[in-house]
Amino acid sequence: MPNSIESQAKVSLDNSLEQLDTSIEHQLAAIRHQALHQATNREPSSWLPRNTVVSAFSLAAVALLIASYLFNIEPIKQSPPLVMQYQQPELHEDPELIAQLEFLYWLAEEHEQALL
Amino acid sequence: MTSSLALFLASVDKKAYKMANIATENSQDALDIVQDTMEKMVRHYSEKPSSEWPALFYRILHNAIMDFHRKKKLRNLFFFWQQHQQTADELESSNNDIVDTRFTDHIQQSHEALLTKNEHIDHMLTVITNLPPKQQQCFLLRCWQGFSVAKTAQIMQCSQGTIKTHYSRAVAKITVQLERLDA
Repeated sequence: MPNSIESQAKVSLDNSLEQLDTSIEHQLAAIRHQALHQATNREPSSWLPRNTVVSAFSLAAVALLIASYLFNIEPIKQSPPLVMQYQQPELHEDPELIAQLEFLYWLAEEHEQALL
Repeated sequence: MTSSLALFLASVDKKAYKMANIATENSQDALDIVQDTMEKMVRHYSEKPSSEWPALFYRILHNAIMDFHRKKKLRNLFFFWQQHQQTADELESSNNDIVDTRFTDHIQQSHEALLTKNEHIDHMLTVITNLPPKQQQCFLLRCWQGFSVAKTAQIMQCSQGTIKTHYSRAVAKITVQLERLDA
């Protein structure tokens, strides 16, 4: 059994609807049409939320940047130190250099003997 | 789907406006809230089953009304001096209205035994308008819109116990205030 206050409230509120200004009713009709109009003009691709598309593109751009950075770095070529190249020419494997060094060594020895 | 949604919106627009108007006490704000609610409803929930539309619609409306109150509170916080003056003016004005109404009622009651129906309706609307926001929303959803306790809790996103508390307090306040105004 409804409370009398509740019944009175319902009657009052229903009556207030009947007394609604006609200009308000027209504006409400316009609001309804506008809301429904945006639904009919919606593009098919809009099923995907805009935020999701933007986020996906951002993520893809970042991934591309990282990938290009990783794949563009050249591997460091391991070469022996310069001192080691001259001390251990066999490691360097340059026959011409070895020949030149041997010649210089022979020249130095000849010079010493000449001085003696 | 669009035609049934159009019928649904036509069935709820006046009540939604009235609820928003009671909450905001401003016609334009109420219309803005209804517009915002309808657009969100169509944009996000038109594909849902039609049985879910009422609860969804009123949840969006309720959230919009609560947002309005939050913004109003924030605005009043920054412009408190205007609010103080406005409150003082409104209080004085409303006190005068009550005095005037009571004086007029006294004159009428000297010739009539009971208040007229329209005056009682006005008093009821005034009392509902003066309820705290959540009690007001709860009362309107339960009593006027006819939602169950469970549905109202879903719309207002709180527990059923909270709904029962809001509702009983609203009814108690309305009863007391109505007796004062009708006296």
